[in-house]
Parts: sequence; C-alpha cells; structure tokens
Amino acid sequence: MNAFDPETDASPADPALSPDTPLRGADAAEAQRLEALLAGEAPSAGEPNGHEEGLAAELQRLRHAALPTAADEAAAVRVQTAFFAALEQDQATEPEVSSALARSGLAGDWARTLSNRPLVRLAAASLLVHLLALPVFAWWIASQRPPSSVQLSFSPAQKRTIESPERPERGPLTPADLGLEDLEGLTLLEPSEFRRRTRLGLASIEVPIPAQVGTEGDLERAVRAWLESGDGPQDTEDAEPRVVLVQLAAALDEDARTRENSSLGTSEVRMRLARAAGLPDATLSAPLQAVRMALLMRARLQGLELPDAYWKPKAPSGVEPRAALALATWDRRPVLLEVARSLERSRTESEPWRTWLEWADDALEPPLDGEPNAPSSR
Amino acid sequence: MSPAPDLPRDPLSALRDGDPTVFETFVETHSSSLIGFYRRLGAAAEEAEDLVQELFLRLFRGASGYRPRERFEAYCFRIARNAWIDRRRRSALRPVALSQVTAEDERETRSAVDPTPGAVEQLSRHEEAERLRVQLAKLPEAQRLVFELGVVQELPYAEIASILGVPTGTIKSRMFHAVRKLREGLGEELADATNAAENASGPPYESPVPPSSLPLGGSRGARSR
Repeated sequence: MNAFDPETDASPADPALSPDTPLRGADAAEAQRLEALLAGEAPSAGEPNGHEEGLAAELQRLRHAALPTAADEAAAVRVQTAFFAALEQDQATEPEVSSALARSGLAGDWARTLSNRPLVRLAAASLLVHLLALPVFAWWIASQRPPSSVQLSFSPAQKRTIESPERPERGPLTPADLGLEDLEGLTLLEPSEFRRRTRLGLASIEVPIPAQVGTEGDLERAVRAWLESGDGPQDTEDAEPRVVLVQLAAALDEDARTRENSSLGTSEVRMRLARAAGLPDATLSAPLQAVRMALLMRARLQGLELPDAYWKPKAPSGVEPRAALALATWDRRPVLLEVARSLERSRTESEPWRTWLEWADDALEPPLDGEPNAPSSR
Repeated sequence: MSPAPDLPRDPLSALRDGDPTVFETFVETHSSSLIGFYRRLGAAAEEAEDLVQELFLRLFRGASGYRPRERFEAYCFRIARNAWIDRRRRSALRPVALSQVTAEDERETRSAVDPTPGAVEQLSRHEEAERLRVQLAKLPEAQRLVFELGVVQELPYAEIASILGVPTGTIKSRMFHAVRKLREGLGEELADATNAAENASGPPYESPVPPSSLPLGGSRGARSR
C-alpha cells in the first residue's frame, strides 16, 4: 500500500476517504463490479441484474457530462492557434544548431544529418550555450575588479565614508544608465532604427488610440478593437512610432469587464501582443500579468516616469520575478537577471509588498565597494 | 475521449520519424477534451488553456527522445499530470473557488453558445458539465484524477496505476470512493432542485435538461444499493 499523501489525499481520519483502507464486503464487491464495467466486461455471472445495469447507465451519464462543452471547443481553437504559432517560433530556432555545427567545422549535409541526432543536437546546443555565456562571464570578471578610484590607503574619515556610504538620492533610471543615450522621452524610435541602436527588437506599433483616453480600460478596448480589425501586429514594420510601451502594457492588463466585450480570448491577445512586442518565450510561459510587467519594466528602464500604482504588485506572487526573467531572457542582460534573482529572494523575505522597481534600482546601482550588486534591506 | 483512438498511429513516433501530420491531427482533435481534463482537475478556464498548450509543447519537444514503452495515451496523461503538478508548484496555485469557476464558465458560455436551434442543447450540456465539475471539486485530488482517467478517459486500471505510481488496488479503492461520492453528491443536488421547484409558487418547475440526461438520473436510491 502506498503511504498516505497529505497533499493529494483526504484526511486519514476519515476512513471512507482514505485510499489505504482496504475495501471489504459489499464495498469490495461493488468496486469489483465497477472495475469490470469500466473494462467493458460483460456482467459477471448469470443474467445481468438491475443493479449492474443501473451502475453502467450512471457511468455512461457521467461520461456524457464530461463531453466537451461549447466553451471548451472555443478555448480549444484558441489553444490550437497559439500552439501552432508557438511551434513556428520553436522551429525557427533549429537553424541555430545547424549553424553552430557548421562553425565547428561540420558543414552542409553532414551538419544537417548530424543535427537530427539527439546527442549531437545536445552537444551543439551545449556549445551554443557556452558561446552565448562568454560575454556574461566577461562581464562578471569585469564586475569583480575594484573601482579604479579606490586607493589602497585612506584617511580614517575617507575610510568611514567608504565603509558606510550615504546612499545618494537617486532619480529615476535614465536611458544612460543602460547605455541607451540616444533614446529619448516617451516616443520610441522607428522600429528598424530602434533595433539597430539597441538590439532589443521592440517593434513600435500604431494603434488607433482615441484622443482622450480616460482609463486603462478605454485603452485596452481600443487596442482590442485594433487587434480584432485584423490590422494588428502585421503592420509593425511600417507603423508610425507613436505608441509607447506603457500603452502596450496597459492593453495587456487583465480586465474582466473589457474582456467580456471582446471576441478574442486572453491567450490570443497575449500571443499577438507579446509577439508584436518581440517577447518570444513570455508568450507561452508567463501569465498575462507577467508580460504586462515585463513591458512596464522595459518602459521604466527606458526612463519613463510612471505612477507608483503601475509598479505596486497586487499581492505577493511569482508574477514579478517571472516578468523580470522574461525581460532578462529577452534582453540577455545580466543586470536584469540579478533583478530577477532579487525578486525571487524578496518573495521569501519579510517585505512582500516592496515594489519590484526598488529591487531593480538596487540591482542597477553601481557597486560601491566592489561587491556584487545585492538587494539592500530598507 | 481517450487521447488517440481515432489517430492512425502514435503521434510522437510519427513526429520523430518526420511526419508531423498525425501530431497536428492529435492537437486539432484533442484540445477540447484535454481542456475539459484540466478544468475537471480544478484549473480555471485560462489556466486550462495554458496547461494544454504547455502539454502540447512538452510532447512536441520530447518527440526526438521518445521511446514508446507504453501506449501513447498513458504517456500523454503522464505528461499531462506532470504539467499540472508543475504548474501548481510553480505558481502556488490556490484552488479556484467554485463561485469563481461558475462565474467564469457562465461568461464563457454566454460568448460561446450560439443563439441557434442547437443552443438549448449546448446550454444543457454546459449545465451537466458544470454539475459534474462542482461535485468533482469536492473530491480529494487523488480520487478526482482516478475518476478522470478511468471513467472519462477510459484508461485501464493497470495503466492508471502506472501513471500515478500506485498499486492497482489503490486505484480500485479510489475509484470506488470517487464514484460513490459523485453519485451521492449529484443525487442530492437533483433532490434539492426538485424540492425547491415543488416549494416554489407559480407554474410547475420545468428543468431545461431532460431528466434522462442528468447525471445519475436523479436517483438517490442509488446510494443505498
């Protein structure tokens, strides 16, 4: 017999619910009949009795009740659409393996043939990962060096200052903090130019936003109408760059009231918007709110000033770390990985309501004493 | 309802051998039943969509290393159950409140039900499914899963035991308790509805669902058998 599993089993105090309680007498016979009926076996001995027929009919009704509903069918269409779209993305990664093999000296048909073999694919993927990790490693080595301005001998006063530095008043993060000096204000650059300068791959999208947008809900409705019109993400290349990330993020906000008026399911909206914004994996692995937070974080990192309400998590949850991870994967920026780690730690500490933006600011702050960035306690 | 009875061959073996069409057919024909599977386990509507998508991706990505040591159905549900457990661990999933499930489902149904002659039947199907889900939510998860795999998905006990990693005797016992509780719960529900209708003033209560299509047919007497 299996041990009692408190996570999945009912209280052992209730013997009727405990799977470890052996069935006896009539119960055992009933269980036997049930097994036979489910296995499609004919009634046991003699003529089929009413009891057995009744049980068979009830099982049939239970099966009937479990048939897919119209809502299940509608959801299935959304899932299929999203899955096949994701598959296209997945398959697009295949050439990376082949090209890694080609770079390592195997080319042409050999590379194609070998790339179909699991072990070689694994080795090639491993090689690729190591190649990608080199810049990260170089960054880490660089971050271990003491700042060039730190001398070996200090006066006592200087030493005190270094040991217990006054935390300078920090303004909002600016594009310069990330080496994006050319970015300015709220307006994104032309998509191709934006990609060229930042290599972040964010498309600028034209959404027919009403002149007066009162609430996020209004905005979301506008974006949904735009998506439903069929003119959505396909037009990203030629779109006029006038929609900012925060608007896109707002469009991703979960709002049951507006969702009621939309013919698009959340999965599809998420897929389309995340794809339009160049968030590959977040489409599938992050919940809608995480995609939204990732976009807001990106907006913040570009120097956008946003009300505090945008950043405050509604409740301690895994959404913020996942948002940061989605963005870190997107940008491949070590500093954002650090943000994500900090956020993960914050979930288990005593400050569940601390905004993730504060963690981001900490992680982005230059180290004062050569130590790696670490979240401070406030 | 079983994942692949209408497929010409094992979708993953076909995919591994370079033929994606069987897997595509599998995705197209089984999405809705798998969504129902997760919904009955207790996932919210959107969560069920995510889970099915994740399941398909796991199957697809694992195709190259797939070695059919068991029937595809068993393999599929093993992965499906793992995805469910992973999701619950990862997001510290709280059980969805029944009221929330109902509200969500009503909204879905409003948008999904077509106002055509088939709409009444759709509504009836939806109500049946809803009643079953409400009663399933009251079961311990272990029993819910056994019921789902055995009754709805029609897997043999030995396969369920293999998927869940428990002895066949435990499956037998869990199935017995699950079915008995469902019969009791659904019987009581129907009796309550009937009493309410009898006590109400005005025209006699007419269920939109034919009694024959209600789970258990409203037989409270079934309990004592």
